[in-house]
Amino acid sequence: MKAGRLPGVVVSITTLVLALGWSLAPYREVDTWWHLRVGDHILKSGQLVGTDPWAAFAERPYAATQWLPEVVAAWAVEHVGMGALLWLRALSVVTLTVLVYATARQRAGRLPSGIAATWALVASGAGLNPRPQLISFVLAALVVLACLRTVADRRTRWWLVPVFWLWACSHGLWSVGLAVMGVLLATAVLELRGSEARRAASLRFGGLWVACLVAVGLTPIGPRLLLTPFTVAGTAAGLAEEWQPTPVNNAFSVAAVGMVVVTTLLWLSAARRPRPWESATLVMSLGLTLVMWRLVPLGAILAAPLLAQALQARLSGPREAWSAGERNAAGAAWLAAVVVAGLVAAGPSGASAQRFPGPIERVDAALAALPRGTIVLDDFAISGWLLWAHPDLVPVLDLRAEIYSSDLIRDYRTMERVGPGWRDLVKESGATHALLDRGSSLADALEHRAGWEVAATEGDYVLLTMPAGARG
Amino acid sequence: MTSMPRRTTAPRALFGLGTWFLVACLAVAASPLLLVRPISDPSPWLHLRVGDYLRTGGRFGLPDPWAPFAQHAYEPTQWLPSMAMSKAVDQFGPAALTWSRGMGVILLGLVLYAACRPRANAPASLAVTALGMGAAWPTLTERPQLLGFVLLVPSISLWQQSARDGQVRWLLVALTWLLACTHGIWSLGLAVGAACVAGSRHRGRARRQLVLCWLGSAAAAAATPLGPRLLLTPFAAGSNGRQFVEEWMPSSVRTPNVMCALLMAALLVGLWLWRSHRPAPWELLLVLLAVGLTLAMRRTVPVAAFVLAPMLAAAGSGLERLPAPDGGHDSRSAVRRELAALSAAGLVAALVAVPLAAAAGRKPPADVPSGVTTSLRALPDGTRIVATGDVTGWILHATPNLRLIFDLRIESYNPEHVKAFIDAMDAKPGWDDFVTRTGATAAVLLESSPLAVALEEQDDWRTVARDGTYILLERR
Repeated sequence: MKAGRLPGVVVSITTLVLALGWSLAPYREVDTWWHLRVGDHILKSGQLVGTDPWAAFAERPYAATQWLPEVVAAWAVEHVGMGALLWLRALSVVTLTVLVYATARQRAGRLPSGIAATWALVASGAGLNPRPQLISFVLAALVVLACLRTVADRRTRWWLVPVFWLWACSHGLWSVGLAVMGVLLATAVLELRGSEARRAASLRFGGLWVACLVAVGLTPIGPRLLLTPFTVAGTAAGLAEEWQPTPVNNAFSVAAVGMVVVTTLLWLSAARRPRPWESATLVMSLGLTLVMWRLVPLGAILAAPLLAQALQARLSGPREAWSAGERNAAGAAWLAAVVVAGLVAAGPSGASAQRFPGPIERVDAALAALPRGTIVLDDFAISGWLLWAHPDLVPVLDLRAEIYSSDLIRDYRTMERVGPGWRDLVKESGATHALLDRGSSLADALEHRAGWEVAATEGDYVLLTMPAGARG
Repeated sequence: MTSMPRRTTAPRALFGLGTWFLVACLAVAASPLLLVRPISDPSPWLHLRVGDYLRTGGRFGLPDPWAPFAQHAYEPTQWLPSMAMSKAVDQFGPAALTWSRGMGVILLGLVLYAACRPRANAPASLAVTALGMGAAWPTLTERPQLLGFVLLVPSISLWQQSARDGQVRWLLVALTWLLACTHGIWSLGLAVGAACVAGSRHRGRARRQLVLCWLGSAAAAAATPLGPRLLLTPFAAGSNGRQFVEEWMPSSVRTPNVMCALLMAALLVGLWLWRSHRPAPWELLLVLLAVGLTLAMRRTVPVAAFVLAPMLAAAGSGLERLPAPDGGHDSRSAVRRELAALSAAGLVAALVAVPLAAAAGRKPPADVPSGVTTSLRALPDGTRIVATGDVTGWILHATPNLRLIFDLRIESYNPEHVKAFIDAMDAKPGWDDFVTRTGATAAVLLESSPLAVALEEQDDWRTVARDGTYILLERR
């Protein structure tokens, strides 16, 4: 190996090692539990849409829009144990990293591509937990790779149609993927010269885009899936922090914004007018990064090839070709990482990687002793775990906010903050027990103002019981 | 056949000014109709109280004269506008406050236009001024900060001009002193200056003079009546503010004014790239600073817009490559005529605003429980009172005989006390201990707040007065 190539190789390998290390680290993810519960339910009932059997207070039928990864994860956990989740996470993160690197390599050498992929990995870090959303990031990276190749060679990649079908079976961010693809293909048309060439490309690319949209409507959920992004966004936005605008006060969002800023500075210092697809990609990257906390990884995935290309322009040496040898080496490295991840996940660290909700054995035991059908006033964050660990109990609300009425969500929030009328709302809910954060206003009010008794407490949570005399 | 000579210049309506420009002047003159309003911000009451106190010879120290739980001596960093407004309200009543807010907004628009115009044509300057005002809009309330903005804009403009032409402008030293007497935003003026000096391409004597000017400005900030300790106040206020105060928290890109500021940055960068303009280092540093100010904190979004405005106006006019600070398409005299016309329109606006402000000043201020004033004044002197943070300034002003558990001067309190106060307002565990420990026997709270609900449930607390969404509770 020539000495000049060494830094690029070292950085590329380091990127993959970082990805593997990150993906095998412990995590705290509240959503994982209810996805497992849904997957388990689908495996047993085969039902993707219908009245939710465990959400007694739900107003709408639940549509399992993320059914495919939920089923895979539930099956794997049932047969292999919780370590399977860690392996699935590692598989996704390593694949994502390799795809981002490969996209960057289309336009830059190993060193800038490795730097850009590492940077994107750091920026995406907060979103790389085991839940179906991770599939969205992997598929987004694949779609970006395909679209940027189309920008270069104008070929229509029809294999994106099954990719979008797969995406639609996995997670709701297919809608963002379609939007990104539409913009990138539009810029590919814009860069063509001659009205005839533009017309022909418009027809082909437009046809591809429509075919992908149709594929989304042809999953087992049916055409109703096309409307779910709006339904979920409408209800989840007020409750879930990850649906809020991105606060640029943490390492992840700063890293993602930094990718855009550094790329822009490199363009400005070179006084080079960017091509339409470059401008559009940069604007989309910044927009996705800032508009919603959960979309930061998508912003980073988009920015990575631009950053790599801009860095490449600053290097003196020529760009190494993306040869068959390197592609094979990348594939082999990916395979090795996946095998290593399997070995680690099969060990004790695989079973204990999920750190949420922490050690609450006493609370768990007290919940297990409750009669079937007991209504539990639950903390929003722990509701997914409650669904998974105690499927016979009835939570007042759970993380799948889209199936509940806005009135119930409003009442729940009033109870949560102990606002006016909270006592009546608790009574109307029929809850005789409450599983709450022990530092919450509601836990304090129930215990000290309404006379509820502590049944068990451990870690961050407390289980409270309504006094027998107060039950109607 | 002879052809008619073509008109090569835009039509001129009056005094050599274009019709559209006269329309803009008319809009300025009529703007008080939209701008003058009843007092709608909770902060000016605190500043009025500070102004009253300082004018009567009072000085802050420890123990704090008003708040029994303040653990740091309060630094009245906004003493000059506080005292001036206190005097004006004494003379003319609350109308003085409503009038000055309207005038402050108009003046800010004028100085922003004046900052853009020397290196840009009039349409670009007007458009950028509108964008800048849009970015600043939510912060243009009845607070000393507004005067701070009016002084900051020329300061930023002068630093940029100096970075471009290497000519030192000693006026910056005086301007920084005045700014340091007005508001804590002086520190951002110095940050802009540092970026301009560090990124200036000028070397030798010109650079040394720029450095001297910056050092002189920093020294001026240390030479106000508050002394050198003023230099440390941004850090003191910032640490508590970033943890607990909404306007100190990161911006949301979904708010219109943040969109305005980001749009300005995007347009500027886009125009530079489009024109293949390679910006000077100081321009790059200022864009970076502006993006940081936009995203880091809600209260610094306007400053980002002010930093970007002159550069964007120049880029929009295609004039960023011209060397001279006054080298636009239009002559200096044309620019002066425009600024004179706008100033005249501003004077008309000042007159138009007088009767409007008098009427608005007679209306009850918004978002404060003025209806419970009588009951509050009936409380014994020295009564300790817990109140929703936003109305504490008004309580200090309306009932100076009471002692607040916490007030808007967040930098005067330890973080532990601030957190305990916020937890108590949310009725989190320990709220009753907090109320007991602090000795509060009265409370002014939003009726829907968790603490109000909790206190109402207690046998020894009762509601004694209401005003709109607020209630006054008293311990029996």
